[in-house]
Amino acid sequence: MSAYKYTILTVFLCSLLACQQPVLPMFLQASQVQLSRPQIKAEEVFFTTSTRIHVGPVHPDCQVEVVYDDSLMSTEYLPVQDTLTVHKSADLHFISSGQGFLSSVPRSISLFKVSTNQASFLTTPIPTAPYHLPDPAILLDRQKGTLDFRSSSWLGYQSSDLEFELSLHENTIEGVGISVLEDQHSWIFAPRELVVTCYDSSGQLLAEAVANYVAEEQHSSSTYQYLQVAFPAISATTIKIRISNLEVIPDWHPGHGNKPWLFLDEIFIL
Amino acid sequence: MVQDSQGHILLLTNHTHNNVLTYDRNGKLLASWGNNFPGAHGLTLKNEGGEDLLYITDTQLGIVVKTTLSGREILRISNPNRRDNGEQERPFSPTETAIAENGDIYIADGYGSQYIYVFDQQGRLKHEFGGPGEAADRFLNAHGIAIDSRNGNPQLLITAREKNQLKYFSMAGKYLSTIDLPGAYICRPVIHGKQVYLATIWSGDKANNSGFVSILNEQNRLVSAPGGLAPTYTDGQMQPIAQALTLFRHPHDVCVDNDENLYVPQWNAGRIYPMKLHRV
Repeated sequence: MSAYKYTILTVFLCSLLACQQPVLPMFLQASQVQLSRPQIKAEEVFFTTSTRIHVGPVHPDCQVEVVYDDSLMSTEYLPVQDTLTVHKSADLHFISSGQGFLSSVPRSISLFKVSTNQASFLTTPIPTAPYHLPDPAILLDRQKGTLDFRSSSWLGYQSSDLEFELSLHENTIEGVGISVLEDQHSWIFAPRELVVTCYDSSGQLLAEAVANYVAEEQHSSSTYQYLQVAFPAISATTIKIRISNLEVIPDWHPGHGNKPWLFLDEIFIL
Repeated sequence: MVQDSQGHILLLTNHTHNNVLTYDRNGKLLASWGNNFPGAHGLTLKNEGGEDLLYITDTQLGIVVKTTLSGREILRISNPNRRDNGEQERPFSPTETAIAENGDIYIADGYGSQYIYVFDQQGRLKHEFGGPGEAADRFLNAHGIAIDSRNGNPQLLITAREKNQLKYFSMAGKYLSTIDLPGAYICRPVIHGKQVYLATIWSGDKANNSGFVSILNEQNRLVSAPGGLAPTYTDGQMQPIAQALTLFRHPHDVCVDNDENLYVPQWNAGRIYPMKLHRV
């Protein structure tokens, strides 16, 4: 009520005295403000049949838009706080928009439809203290770690090369991936190379595939990274996974010259 | 950031060319001083005997310094050098102070030991409480402290930032209760009128640049979050909150002036000036 009175008084005085409009501060306009990325939560990142993504609330009267696999042609709008079911491996990018605000930058998530093929370790490298405590079995539990590398979802390594050997319970395999953390502020770098070799029961090499990553490139935020390789479906009994880390932290980094850390939370079979 | 009794706004920075900057409410720079606080962090103003005095914490030097408005040092408090059961000396990296009416100085060692140290006005250690841990009376980043006299009974209101909580303690240091603010990584509580204002440096999954401002009402319910989602409660429990607009990057304090406008200085925000929110 008092605000209404103040408004009327201002109009009255201005018309009476033919004065200029009162000088108001230069307020920020909606068109200058960017919406925040929507909050999303996947029930499972590594799933065998389907997974659901829960979309959190956004600014009032704004909406969430999801884009699959960077395809700008397949935009699909979802109402706020809806749930999205995904049946295949995908990279999803969620954007909030509306109310005249600038649309948010995307919040992206990678989802992997993995094989039901169970695997177990034959050999594993020794992780580095103090990030050595979790059982290596966590690397095959299909559970995604949080961005907190100190949590029990991650194993930390300070070695240039890691080699894992796995036994497959079923034989068919179409690919292998690893889930790592990139948190360069904390001296944690993604690996530069993943090499996967597959063998039959006689030890004969069946397939080899390589994935590379530009690990020395500077990234400011803490993110998940995934390296994966794919094969035509083959029947293998064992696989060897070699992960090559940077030898030293790059020159642009305050910790340059020291050994980088590599944090691994999952090895997944496709 | 604080407002003095003349209405001027004082901003503490960790830049050793100008540790303290004095502005009018329109942002015009009036004065500056200070080049000795490389870790300047907490700024509290207390009117003592008619004179505005400042309490500055320096997390890098591990000191609390009491000064006049023009920068003359009156008192300096250093590490009380406490040990726990023969262990090494506790670190001391104080983040904020609160000053009682009897002159007692409450120091929140938020980047250090997680204890709250209580000194008398001559700088002599009286007692301590808190410490690190998950228990209700312990802290994980005791980042801020204030004296809440809204109900006429002064109590300490202390931040446990990594727990997304505020905690009430008696002035003698007895734990009383906890306010849960899930998703809100809050800095110090600033009590103005019936409200509590809190810079919220991160939110949600603690991503960079995810901050906003939290405002609690007289019942300590979050009723407004400029830059954040609309607060919601279910069965009396606040639901996790996150940023909605990228207005802020890392809000680190809030100052409420005598016309109820808000000033929000930020950490790690590209050296931008504090943002001012006008009362409407």
